[in-house]
Amino acid sequence: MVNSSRTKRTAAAIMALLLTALCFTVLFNTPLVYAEGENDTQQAEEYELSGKNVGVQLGTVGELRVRPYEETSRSSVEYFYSQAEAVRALTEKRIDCIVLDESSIMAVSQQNEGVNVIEKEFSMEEYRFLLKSDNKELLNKMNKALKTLKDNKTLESIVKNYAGTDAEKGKTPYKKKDIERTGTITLAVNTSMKPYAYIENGTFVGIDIDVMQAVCDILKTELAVTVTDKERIASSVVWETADVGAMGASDYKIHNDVKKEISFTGVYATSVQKIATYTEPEPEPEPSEETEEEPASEEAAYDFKGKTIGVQLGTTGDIYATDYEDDGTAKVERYSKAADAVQALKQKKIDCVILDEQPALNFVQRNKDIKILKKEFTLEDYALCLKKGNKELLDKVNAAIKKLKEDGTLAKIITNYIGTDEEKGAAPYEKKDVKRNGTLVVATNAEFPPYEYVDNGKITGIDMDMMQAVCDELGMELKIENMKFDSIIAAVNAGKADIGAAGMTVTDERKKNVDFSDSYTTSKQVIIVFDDEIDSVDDLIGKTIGVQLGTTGDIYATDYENDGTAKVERYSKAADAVQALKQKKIDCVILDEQPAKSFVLKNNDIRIIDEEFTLEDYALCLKKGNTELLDKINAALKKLKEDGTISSIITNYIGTDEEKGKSPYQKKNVERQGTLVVATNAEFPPYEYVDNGNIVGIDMDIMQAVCDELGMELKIENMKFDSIIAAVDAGKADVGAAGMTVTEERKKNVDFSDPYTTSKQVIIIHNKEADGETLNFWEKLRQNFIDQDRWRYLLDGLGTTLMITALSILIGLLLGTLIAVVRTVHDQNGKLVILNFICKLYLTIIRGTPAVLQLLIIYYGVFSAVDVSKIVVAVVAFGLNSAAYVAEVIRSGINAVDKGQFEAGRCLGLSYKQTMSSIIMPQAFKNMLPALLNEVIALLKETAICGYIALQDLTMGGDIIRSQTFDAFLPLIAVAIIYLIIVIILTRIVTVLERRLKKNEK
Amino acid sequence: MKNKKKNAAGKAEVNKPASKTEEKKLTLEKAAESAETAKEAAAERTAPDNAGKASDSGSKANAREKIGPDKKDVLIEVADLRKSFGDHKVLRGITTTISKGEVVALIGPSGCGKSTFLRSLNLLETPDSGIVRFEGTDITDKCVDINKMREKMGMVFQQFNLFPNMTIKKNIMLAPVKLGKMTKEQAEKKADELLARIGLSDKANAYPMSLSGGQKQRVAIVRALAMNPDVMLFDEPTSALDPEMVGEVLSLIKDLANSGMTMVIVTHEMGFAREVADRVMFINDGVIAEENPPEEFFGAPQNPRLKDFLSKVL
Ligand SMILES: Nc1ncnc2c1ncn2[C@@H]1O[C@H](COP(=O)(O)OP(=O)(O)OP(=O)(O)O)[C@@H](O)[C@H]1O
Ligand SMILES: [Mg+2]
Repeated sequence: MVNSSRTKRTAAAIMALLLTALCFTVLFNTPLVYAEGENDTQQAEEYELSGKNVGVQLGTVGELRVRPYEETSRSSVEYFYSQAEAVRALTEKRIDCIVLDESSIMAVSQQNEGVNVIEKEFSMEEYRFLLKSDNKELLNKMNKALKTLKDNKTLESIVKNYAGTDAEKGKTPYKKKDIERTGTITLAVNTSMKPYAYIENGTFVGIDIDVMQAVCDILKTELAVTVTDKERIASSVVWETADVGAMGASDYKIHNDVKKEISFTGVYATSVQKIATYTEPEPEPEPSEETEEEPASEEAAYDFKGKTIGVQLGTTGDIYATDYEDDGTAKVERYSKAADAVQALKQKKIDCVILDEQPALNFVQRNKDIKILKKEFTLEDYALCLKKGNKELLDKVNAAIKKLKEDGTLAKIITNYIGTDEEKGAAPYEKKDVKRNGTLVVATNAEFPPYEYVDNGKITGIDMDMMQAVCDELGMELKIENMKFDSIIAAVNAGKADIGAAGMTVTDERKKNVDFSDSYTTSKQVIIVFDDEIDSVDDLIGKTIGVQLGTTGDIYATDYENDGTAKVERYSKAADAVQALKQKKIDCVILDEQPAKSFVLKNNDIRIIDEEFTLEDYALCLKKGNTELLDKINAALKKLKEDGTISSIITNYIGTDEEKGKSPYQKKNVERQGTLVVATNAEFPPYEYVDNGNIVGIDMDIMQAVCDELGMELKIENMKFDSIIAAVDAGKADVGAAGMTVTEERKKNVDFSDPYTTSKQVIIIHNKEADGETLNFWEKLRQNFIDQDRWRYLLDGLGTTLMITALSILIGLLLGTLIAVVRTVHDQNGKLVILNFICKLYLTIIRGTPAVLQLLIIYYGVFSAVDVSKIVVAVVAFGLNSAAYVAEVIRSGINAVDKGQFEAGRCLGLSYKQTMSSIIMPQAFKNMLPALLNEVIALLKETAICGYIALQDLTMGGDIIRSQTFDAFLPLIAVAIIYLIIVIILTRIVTVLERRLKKNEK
Repeated sequence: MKNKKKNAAGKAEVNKPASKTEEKKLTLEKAAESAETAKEAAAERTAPDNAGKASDSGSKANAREKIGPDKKDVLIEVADLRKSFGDHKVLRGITTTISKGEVVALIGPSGCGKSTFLRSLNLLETPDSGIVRFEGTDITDKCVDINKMREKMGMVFQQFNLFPNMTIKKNIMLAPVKLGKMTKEQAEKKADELLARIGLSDKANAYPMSLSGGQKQRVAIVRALAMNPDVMLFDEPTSALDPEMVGEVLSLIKDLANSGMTMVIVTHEMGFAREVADRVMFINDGVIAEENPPEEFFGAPQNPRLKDFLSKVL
């Protein structure tokens, strides 16, 4: 079926190799992990950790590197305190292999018969300090110092002291020199980087610390250590809160924006991790053999048995798949576009897709949840097809192709599309300026990148460029006709097109219908299968992203939504998004880093992927044009930044475990004039959240500090995130402080203060490893309601709900009766025309619009300028709302009283009012009691929307618990039960009342 | 004229039941005199159609002319009363006089406007035009406090219209107490008396629902009486009752008549009308087609429609 020249095949293979290498370069191009061509993935081919029981020593680089395998459930990992223990476990076959430092593992294998070290390094890393790039002077000094330390073996002994063999460890501690010093170098480290930087007995220790101490000893300066997140080390150097950063063995990849601004010192330590397996000394080489072959054999041949294969209709993939279909081994789904097949694969409607290699690579590059099986399916030649018997054109085309091959044009065209990143797009084919006679119509199917696809509305690709080149050779005008792949041959046959150029493989079947030119390139069919890990931003394609409404995460996700790459679910709370992720309703959540961390801390079934999404600044927002306050606040922020208050506030919330909670901001005792109302959304820990009923967090402390500076009283208004800007705009709040990122869109509505901190958007995904770990029912009950007295949220909320309901129904009854009287008087006497009209209008408006809107309109519209308690707002809103319903209830209650009763009263000489009050109303009341009570019940439930104006009613109370415990079910159920109980009690009261009233008439 | 005199004489000679008091007779004589004065109006009525047409848009002045000078023993005077519901002209000019102590029975085919006329007397229906003068006051005048007037005009409905949410006693006491006519104690005493009179003392604290139709209607009657009205208006007081209960209600009304109460009764009970009424009115086509003492009314009906009507109901 396939007929090709050997050279082309080799060219394609080389290209594939180049591309693979390119991928790896991109993937492992990190500042501290210098992969240099050799890397995890390739080593994993040597010894695949997946599915193995791996042993590591705690506090080693090996531990850090193996952990991801455990976190992604690829391996199960056993942690040991000492190498000896780990080795014992290995020799007793409790574990399959161990990962240790090269020097240690060599010692181990020498001492233990049967322990074999896998030649290939598991990981190889070099460590360098990082400095701000314009700090050239210090860089040079440090490099010199490091060289000295290396030469006098100080570095070696420091490393051995922390990461040597059991025997070496702790033997050669570095001793700080007793010298005179001037100046201080601040080193930023993260103290979870054992053995590079950690805390022991209250002091900072580790290779990074000791090396830096040694450097400082040479430079004759003091060393100060500041602790920060591993993600922040680079930025703290850039922001100049530290002079030098040491990332230790952190696997954190520095963001490209930041990387531009830093430079690295020479290497001060290297770490090579190797894997050792164990074979019992007796000649019994099975275990390691087996484990080494397993992955290979898995890759050997994809088993199509019982699978559903997706193909593009009419392609060679279709032809191959049809063979499987015919002999009953597999089912085949045929799509008119390759992209549809890939889409179906992503949605798991099919098991795999058979596709040409280059388009497949394209798809896989854009969709990280699918992968190509390494073993190709077939090799095949692409050729142009022509109408049978069109010898003249065929010869011309063949001659042109031959020429293009020989002069390298064809290779250039192909490289331009599928070369390395550097090559790609570098040498686009330029249409030649030749004389043209006649037109060559080319039929193609522009959905087969990179051979033919639509880019910027133009059909481009290898085939198209090549056809242009052919046309240039032939001196013809090129005309491209885009059609379905399976129509191309028919179109060529019907003379609608002269040539078909569509990455078409030469097959016997096709040869019966058309003539083929000489082949112009070789391709492979490959199999794409599902790979459902998100581990980079690119993987968001085709995923459902959860975000909090109105946050920057929302803004970013919306970009993905708009260009159709991802779906976005918007939640009013970050906690809801996380909840949805836990329930796998969505694939990931884009969220600010710190809140994401606190969520992940509390939920071990989700994790943050390493690559951050963006960096962004947090600032306070103010009403546009309020420059006076803005200036004051900026001045206050500046002062707080300078005197370290802000950084100590931040450290108090997001420092190391030791630092956390140690430096709470203390409200100052200053004279205060006026109040600064701050709008926030207290569901964004650690920036703002509810703790023990108080709204706390970084932003709140900063605002308190700002207020202390300004000599003002702080008043915090809690509301939905997407209401904050509106509230600031409407003057309901002076300042919005809610971990708010400065964006262009927001700037249109509000002014921003100077940024007070930096954050990142990160992506949270489901963590497969920890699904099983759940609390039992009683523990959950405890966690949701008893821990931290969380039941108080429900109790307080219930109080608010009841109060709002009671006051609202009171207003409703008063106003409703008034309306009903007006309407009844009008009905009976035809009086009060204008009042009746007003009442009718009122009823129409209130009953014709959602209560939520009425509440919001009253909050933002009516009371916008007035500072009243939100309870008052709610009572007014619900009172006005229920009045409309109560009025109609009362009116129909009155109408239901027999007309004769009215006449009897009037005939006795009673006035209209007397008749109404002493005869009609008591009876009407009895008629309408059930309906009135239903109104109370409806109103009670209606008040659940109070959360929209951030009033902490019962529902909101449940929501607060929910956002703290991440358990949706129990708080929601508890709230529901409380509502239900109240409703049942109310219903019961009415039944009793009704019965008593009935009894009175007997 | 001759007729009228004969009527008056005849009335005097009628064998009244022994219980009828002298006082009643005196009143009747006065009534006879008033009937004399009414004849002028009657003369005009000889051509009712013309009169009706002439005063379709009749003014008050026009109506007042028809009534003539006030008389002391006249209780209610009605002049050219007109009422229509939409296009349907129900009353087309009713003029009549009701003397103190007189018992007037209203009969006529269903839908002829009896209830409308009766309800116009206490302004439950507001007339389109015409005058209703009660005890010398034109109650159609907007300045008149109609509630005060109604205090003196008791009304009893076909459907009783007792207040279901109050006890019998409360039903009776409500208006006198509310309107400040009596103190609570007085009202209670009055209620007890009235209930004793109709033999329902034991039901004083019962609710209307537990009473039979006849009992309810008797309570409704004494409820009206509690206000010490000057006239009682009955709109088919027995029509909603089971036959065996009709008697008890009628006998109460008869008692009332004998005690000299002025009454206007809409009824289908011809026997009762003949027995108790001083005058029977036949309303047809929105006007009083014939009015005479019962003997003459039933004995020698003139109006062909009345003859037809009587032939059907008797
Ligand atoms: N409120 C009203 N609106 C419209 N039409 C009415 C109203 N009340 C009475 N009518 C009409 O006026 C006419 C007279 O009614 P009315 O009740 O006075 O008759 P009636 O002589 O009492 O009849 P019945 O013997 O059935 O009680 C009837 O045709 C009735 O339909
Ligand atoms: Mg009637």
